[in-house]
This record gives sequence, C-alpha cells and structure tokens, in this order.
Amino acid sequence: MSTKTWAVFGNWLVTLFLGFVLAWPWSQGLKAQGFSQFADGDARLLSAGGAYFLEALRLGFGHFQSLLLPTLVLGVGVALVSLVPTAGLALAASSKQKLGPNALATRAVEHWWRFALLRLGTSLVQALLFGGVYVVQAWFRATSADVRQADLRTLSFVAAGLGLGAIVGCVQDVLRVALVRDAVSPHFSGAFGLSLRALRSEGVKLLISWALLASLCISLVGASAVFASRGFAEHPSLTFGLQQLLCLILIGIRLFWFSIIERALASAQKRIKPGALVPAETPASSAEPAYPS
Amino acid sequence: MLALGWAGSGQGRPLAPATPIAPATPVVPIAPVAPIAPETPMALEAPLRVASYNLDANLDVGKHTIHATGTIHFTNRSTRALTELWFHLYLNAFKNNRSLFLRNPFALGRSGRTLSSYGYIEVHKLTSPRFGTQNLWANSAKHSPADPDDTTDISVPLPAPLEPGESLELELEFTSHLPPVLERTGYAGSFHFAGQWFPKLAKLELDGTFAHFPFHPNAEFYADFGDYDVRITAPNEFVIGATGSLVETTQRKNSTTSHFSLKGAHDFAFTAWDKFERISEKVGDVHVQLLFPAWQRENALLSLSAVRQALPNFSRRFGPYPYPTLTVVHPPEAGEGAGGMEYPSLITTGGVWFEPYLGSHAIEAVTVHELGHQWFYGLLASNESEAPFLDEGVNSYAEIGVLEDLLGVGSAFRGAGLDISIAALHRVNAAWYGGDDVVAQPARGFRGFSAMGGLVYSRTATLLLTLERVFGPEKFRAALKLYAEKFRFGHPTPDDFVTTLEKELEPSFGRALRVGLFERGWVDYRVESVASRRSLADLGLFAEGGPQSSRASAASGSKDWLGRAVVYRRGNLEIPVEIALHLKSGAVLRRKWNGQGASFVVDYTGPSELASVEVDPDLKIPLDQNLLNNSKAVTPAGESRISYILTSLAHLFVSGALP
Repeated sequence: MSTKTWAVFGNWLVTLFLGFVLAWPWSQGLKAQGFSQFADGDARLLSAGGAYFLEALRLGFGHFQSLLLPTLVLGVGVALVSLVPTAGLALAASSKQKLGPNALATRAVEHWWRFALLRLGTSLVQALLFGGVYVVQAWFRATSADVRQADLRTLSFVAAGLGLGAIVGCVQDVLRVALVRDAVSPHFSGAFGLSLRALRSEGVKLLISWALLASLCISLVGASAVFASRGFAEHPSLTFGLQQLLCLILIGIRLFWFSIIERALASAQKRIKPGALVPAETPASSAEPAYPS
Repeated sequence: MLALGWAGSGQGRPLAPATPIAPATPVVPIAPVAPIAPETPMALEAPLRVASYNLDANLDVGKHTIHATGTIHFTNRSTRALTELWFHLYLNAFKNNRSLFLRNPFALGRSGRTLSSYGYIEVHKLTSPRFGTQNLWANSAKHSPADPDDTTDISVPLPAPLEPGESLELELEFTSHLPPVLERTGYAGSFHFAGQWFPKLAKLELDGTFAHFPFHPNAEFYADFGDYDVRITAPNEFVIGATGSLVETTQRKNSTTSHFSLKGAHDFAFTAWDKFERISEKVGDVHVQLLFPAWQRENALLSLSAVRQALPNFSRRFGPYPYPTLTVVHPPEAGEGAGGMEYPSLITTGGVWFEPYLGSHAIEAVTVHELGHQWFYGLLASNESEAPFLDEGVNSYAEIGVLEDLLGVGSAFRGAGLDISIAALHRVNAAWYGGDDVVAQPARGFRGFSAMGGLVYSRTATLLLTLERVFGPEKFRAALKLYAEKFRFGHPTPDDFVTTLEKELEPSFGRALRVGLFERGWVDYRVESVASRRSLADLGLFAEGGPQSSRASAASGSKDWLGRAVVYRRGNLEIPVEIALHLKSGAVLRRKWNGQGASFVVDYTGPSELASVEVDPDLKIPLDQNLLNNSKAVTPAGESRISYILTSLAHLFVSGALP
C-alpha cells in the first residue's frame, strides 16, 4: 500500500479508537439503564418525545454527572493525541519516499509536540481575533448578534470574524505541512519562512481551495447527520458503517488538501536558493533523517 | 410565572405546519399607538366587581419612582360587616433583606439573585369621604401580623363598620420606589416594569374575612375583580405598555400621559422604556401588541407567532379570551427578571437571542405558558398563595396540549435527531420529586422553589396528563372546559376543581385525582419477571372415567408456547394500565389490568415464543415513577444504537470533521 493509503487508514483507525474511548463511558452508562429489556432496544431513547432519554439521564444522574469532568479532560487529551494521525497525513502528503506504517507512525509521533504547540498558538490567535471582532462590532453598534436580523454592517463583522478565523486555520495547515516536509528541517523558523512565501505567491488559490473543500466537508457532514438521525433508529449497524465510510472520505479530503499545500510549498521552495531555508550548520543532504521505509 | 421546566408529550403527533410569520408589520419605534376603545368584555358573564382602581401615576425614570394619587371603589360583597381593611404592599418585599421575601439567604425565590438597592411603597394618605378627612393610614398596622420585619401585609382599621352591600370610596396617595429588577418588578437602566406597584386590597371572602398573607418568595397573588382606569405619565420618548386598552394619550412638552382602562380584572401592571420597538396585529378580535428590544426582533416574532396560534387554541379549550387587547412584553436581557410573568391582558416573555439556534423552543414555551395564565389566574382567579397548583399546575397541563398543537412532538427541543417534548420535561421534573410532598398545599409550604416547580408545575401537569390519557382525552378535556366555564371570572378552590372534574368522569378517576393531589400520590409499574417455554404434553397419572392410566410421553406433546409475566404496582395510586406481550413472530398482544392489588400475572399460550412484556407501552401513565423498569425481555436485545451513535459523534469530533 502507498504511504497515502497507510496514512488515511491509520488516521481512520486511530481516530475511531479515540472516538470509541471518548464515547465508551457514556454509551455504557446509557446501556446500563436497561434498554435491552425493551422490545425495540435503545431505539426507545429516541421515541416518546424524549421521555425515556430524559428518564435515563435522571436515573443515571449521579453517574453521568461524575463523567463530566473526566470527559472534558479526556476530550482535551484525545484532541491532542489526534494530532499524531494529523501529522501522519501531512507526512504522507509531503513525503517523496514511500513510508511504511511503522516509519509513518514513528515520524508522526516525533512531530506531535510541534503540532501541539501550533494548535495551542492557533487557538490563542483565533480566540484573540474573535474577541477583537466582537469588541469592534460593539464599538460600531451593530444591530444584533443574531444573524436572522442582522444588517449589512453586522453581517460584515460576522463574515470578517469567520473569515479571519478560517484564514488562521488555513495558515495552520500550511505550517503543519511545512513542518513535516522532507527537504526542510523541522524548525518553526524555516517552516514559517517557507509558508509565508507560499502564502504570498499562492495564498488566494489556497484559500479558495480550502473554502471549497471545507464547504464539501460541511455538506457531507450535514447530509450524513440528516441521514443518521433516522438511520440509527432503523438500521444502526448499517448506518454506523456508512458513517465510517464518510469519515474515510473526510480524511481523504484532508489528505487532498494537504497535497495542495505541499504543491504550493514545493513551488515556493523552487523559487528560492537551495538550502536557504536549512540552517547553515546542517548540510541539505543530511536534513532528511534516515528513517526505515 | 414560569418555572424552569416545561414539558411535552410522549404521544407522537405530526408536526404542525409552521405558520409563516405575517409579512412584517412595520416596526414603529416610540410612536404612539392609536387608542383602542375599551370594549365590553367578550365574555358572556361579567365578574362581580369588588375593588376598582382609578389612579394617576407619574413615573420618574431617573429616580425610578412612581408617584400616584387616585381612588379605590370598594364594595362589601361579603355577608358580614367589615371593621378593617387589609392591604398588600407587595413592593415592600424588596424593602430590606429582613422581609419575608428576602430574608432567607439560601432561598432567594425564583431568580436566586440578590438586590443592589431596595424598593418599597410609601403610603402618604388614605382617606374616605365617609370618614371625613381622617387619614386612615395613620392607624394602619406597622408590620405584617406576627412578623415585625415584614411590611407586605397591612391592616387598616375602619372608624365605623362597613355593612354588607355598602360601598366605600377610598382616596389614596402613595410613592412606589422600584427596586432593580429582581423578580417581576423593577428597573434595569431605563427599562421599567411596574408590577405589584400599588397598595392593593386583599381578596374579600364571602364570610367577611380577607385572604391576606405576607409576600412569600414562593407565592404569587390573589385579588378581587374590579375595573382599572390608570393614567401613566412618563417622558415623551418612553414607550408605554400596560394592562388593558389605551383610551387616550395627552402629550405635553416633556411628558405624555397614557390612559389605560380594563374592565373585569384583578391586577394592573405597566412597562416603560425608551428603547422598545412595537409590532401590532389583530388576532381574531384581539389587538395584540408586542414590545421588544430591537436586537430581539426575531425572537419577539417567535412569541407573536406562538400567540397567533395559541390564543384561538386556548379559547377553544377553555372559553373565549375576554379582553379586547393583549400586550406581550419581551424585556431586555438586563431586565430578564421581569420576564415570564402574567397579568390580566399583559404577559412578559424573554429568552436569550441564541436559544432558537440550539434547537430550543423556550421562547414559544414561555409565551404559551404565560398566555395560558390569562385563563388559569386571569379568569379563574384562584388563590395563588394557598393553592398554587390551581393556576401554575393546571396551566402547565394546558400549555402541554397547546404547545404540541403548535410545535408537534419536539415542543421543547428539536435537534441532533432528538425530539424533546414539553410533556417529557414536565414528566422528568415530576419524577425527580416523586411523592416527596403534597402537591395541593400553600406555596409557603414548599421547601424551596425548585421543589415547588417540580411538584406544583410539573407533577400537577403530569398527573392531569396521565388522567387524560387513561380516562380518555375527549371526556377529560370536556370536564376541564366545564370547570373553566363554570368558574370563569370566579375564584375556584381546590375542592371546586376536584368535584367538578370527578362529577364528569368515573369514580376511579376522582380517587386517583384526589390521591395525586392531596396524598403524595405516586405509582410505579414494574415488570418483575418474564419466562417462556414450550408447553408440555400431559405426563403422569390421570383418572379418565375409571382407574388411573398413564398418559402418553412428551414426544407427542403440543407445539404451543407458554409464557408468564409478573407485573407489580408500587405506590398509592391505582391507575388502570395496559400490558403488551411481544412475541418472537413480531405480533403484539394486549392485556388490561385495572391497577388494583399489588401484582398481576399475565399468562400466555400461543404458537409463537414470548419475547418480552411491557407495561404501559403507550406511555399513558407519564406519572409512572420509573419508566425503565416497565419492560422485561426473555432474551435482552443485543444491538446498541447508542454506542454506535456516540462513537460516531466522538469519531467525527476526534477526526477534526467537527469543530
């Protein structure tokens, strides 16, 4: 199998496992309420105006309450661990040599702390941006935060906030790929430099690609939610299977997005002197660590 | 007033087609509305007028005070001579932190908030031409009976008895100092909501006693019917909304006086704010006016849409709405304590702007709940302090039916593939308090407002919903309508309610209703065991018309299946229930149990194996204390949808496909 195939399946497997870990205490808690004794099993949770669902929450209140904090901590942990398969995807998109599952996993793990730092930095910048836009819109007395009745001024603030947040997220992905590129030593400074060059030359193209792919993903998730809201009650295992297929497609789309970034970074690198982004003491030829393939 | 939980039904009904919001009626900011002539109430009956108020009120928006002068026309409709009058000074609940309303730091009423400054009423003068120029207030009690710290329940001795049938003209002058909005009344910035702002005569009972009480944080109000004519003077830029119809406006250089009139009511409230926007439209014969902050326009339209459908719906169920106008006030966020409250022909709603985006129908639910109070409080003016279940409980039941007609099964929440009904919310809230305390007791008897919410609002609603489903919706609704018509413009008691309903329905209904309301009634149906096996051929020795003979072996036995389930009933409520027998073939058989006795054995013989047995499969008894022990399977079902759903959601989250 190709590196990209390994990366997609690896990503799917790891995130499925992490999702399972996150969901397990809650699904076990609800299962323990005894829905298997009903003729329609836990489909009952979704019927009768939610009466049985609320009853399960009431009877298991103490248990579910005790799960809240651990779930929050687990959620943060799982979100951080999930950066490893993301790094694997970025590696697969940028690697010129074929990597087996072990090599891919090892290199992805090595990149984890950089991805984690990047994620924290991005979250901080996004929070500052959203906060700043909120303050500015209050300054300009926009009509309402409610988009149903917003005027053009308010809508432009909402669009500005979302747009800036999206640009920051998009830049984060460019940096991610730049950090794991074969030809570049994984230094933030080098990755920033290359990313800036790529964004300067192909920023608009990248943003349009991101917007199109993001729209596609949102549409797929939305359609799947509509389908799943019915499907889980009638055909749970089949619906679950289709949901997993959807996850694979979403991961594939993300890989495709990383590949677009990689091409932009490659063409940006072509326009600069060889080795310019590599620290002086490190020969360009030794920038690529000797990982087993 | 609305408690935090509302509720919905387990009965799946098709979603009512959403009524489109009418083409935007032009928003008229701060413009005076055309006066609506006070019409004769549409009701066939007229209330017995006991206390009518004619007041001139001047709102000082800077000092947040109302200075008022006027008269009260009071008639002794009782059978005894009166030697004293009793006044409720509800606003004195906010006078200091030693009032009955505020003194308990652990139970600050419904909101749980504390005050930054205080509010009170100063009565300057109370005179009557009958008694010359004597200021009757000078001899008034200094505090509520047996409570030196509370001044919300004040007696005023009369210089001479007032005989039955005699009337008294009282002239009064007072100043109300509004508190910051804590609960129902007060100000927030330039927003003012004046509820319980004037000295109000306590309800005179037929035996000549006054139903007076200090203002308890759990309690609401009780008063006689009368006519209200109130002129409110406020700065020109302020939009005024009030109980009743706007008769005329008189504009001066800096201020405008708005004259409101309402016949046959028992309270008067008004609001004033310089940032209100207004929408008006006619719903049937009723002029509906909506006042709201500009930034809440869309949510206010949700309220209007709910009123448009709920007003005729309530009228069909409980008799026509009697007043020519209805004012719906959506307070700003800072004044949210004024939201979710009812006054005759005026209701307040509320809610944060993003609630609809979360799938919540809270705004519609609050609107419908408060509108329902026009009947269960407004027209059936029961004693809210002594029997809060008669207004809040019965109204919560009424709200369930109307909201489901409006919004279908997801009447409280719709989203993420899950529909939550208002009945389900009330049910779970009712089950939370179970049979902990008696439903039909005075508001002051409940140990905190959440207990009162669970028992008075939710448990009454769930009990009535249970009785409706078990004894037949048509019969039950007809009986309730009869009650609403019989006591329209009256003051029904718990006994009036129970006897009217039980007369129309069967005796077991009356028993269940009384136990549910007065005896901490509860019930839990539970399937204890279920078993299934092949039936056996006869084995052993049998006498068949002569000497005993041995019967054939099991090999030639029957191919039928046998099944047996044991169902238990716990609790003191005996309610007839159905039991469903699910067979492996997919067929479902039904059995009935009258609910009497502690247990019931269901036997089955048939061609298919018994798979599971469920008691109350249609959820006709939402009062059932534990729904999850209602079914037992011979072999529990294997596939777990919830594991699939939660894992899928978590997977999407982890893989970054969801934010």
